[in-house]
Amino acid sequence: MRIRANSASGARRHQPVEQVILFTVAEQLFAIASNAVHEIRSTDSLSAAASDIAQQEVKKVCHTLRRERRAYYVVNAAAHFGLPATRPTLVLVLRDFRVAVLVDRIERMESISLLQPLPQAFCGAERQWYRGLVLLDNVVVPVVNPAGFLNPQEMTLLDAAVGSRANAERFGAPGEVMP
Amino acid sequence: MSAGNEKSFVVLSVCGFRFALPARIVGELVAAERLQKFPHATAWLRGVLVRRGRILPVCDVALLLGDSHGLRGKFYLVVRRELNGATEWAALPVEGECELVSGELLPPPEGAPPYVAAQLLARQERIEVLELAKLIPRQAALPSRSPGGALAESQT
Repeated sequence: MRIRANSASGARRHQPVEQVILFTVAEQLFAIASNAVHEIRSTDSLSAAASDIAQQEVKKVCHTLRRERRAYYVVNAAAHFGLPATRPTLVLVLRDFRVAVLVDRIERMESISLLQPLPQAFCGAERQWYRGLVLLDNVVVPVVNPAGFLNPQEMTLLDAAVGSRANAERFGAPGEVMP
Repeated sequence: MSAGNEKSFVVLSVCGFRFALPARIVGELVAAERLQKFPHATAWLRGVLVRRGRILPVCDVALLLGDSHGLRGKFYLVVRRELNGATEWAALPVEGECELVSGELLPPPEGAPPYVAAQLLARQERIEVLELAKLIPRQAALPSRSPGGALAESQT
């Protein structure tokens, strides 16, 4: 007797699995795709490469960071998400954006296979912040959108604050995805 | 919502008032479960519940009805929302148990807010029937309300 393969289990076998990094900001757990992160460094190790940026329009950015001849805007994740201020110890340097994110700690890596869409009831800025939600041991964890830390308007304001047009060209055009 | 075709309604208590919803959009009533929160910017959402593997946004109906304190309900009523042609489940905190009633439908009272679709006459009590599509905003900010509870922004 031949037993036909269960088509549902076949579909599950082909569900794409994504590696994410779980990190914490002000005791709130988030996830980010591991392939969106270029490197993770301690704030101490990067202090020499960081510069203050004098601007008030984008309050979540107080520093720029130069790494491997590229410049990044350092976003304080607690300020970005409206969480209480913390003392972040780690920086996530993103791969495809001129953004580095200050976080409190890395929890672990996880593999996820089901990213649930953010319910339509959420209709504020969070629709740009998150790619969706994932359930880990019945805990809802938002999966951040790496492009959501700085929108094109904020990038433009920061580029203007950093300095001259020459500086903006060296850093890249506003919103430019880095090669 | 065409309240005139509805037969059964679920009556719920919010802020000491009783309201009704068409029974066809009500999924279940669950006891207060762990509300999970994460950062967001939608003023009238309290967080989310996980129910049968689904993530349900918790809509604070009390806030939407004008109670600035919101409601910490003992129960959650799981309801179905139609939005942009799609269906989405949500949870509404309610104060107590709900009941299923049938009755005569009357037009909404004069001057009622747009989210009051009709009045349900049941056991000589008039209960406002809510239309969720007009009560729950499509923008993140709480709608401002003129005296009497009418929404300032039109709901399409």
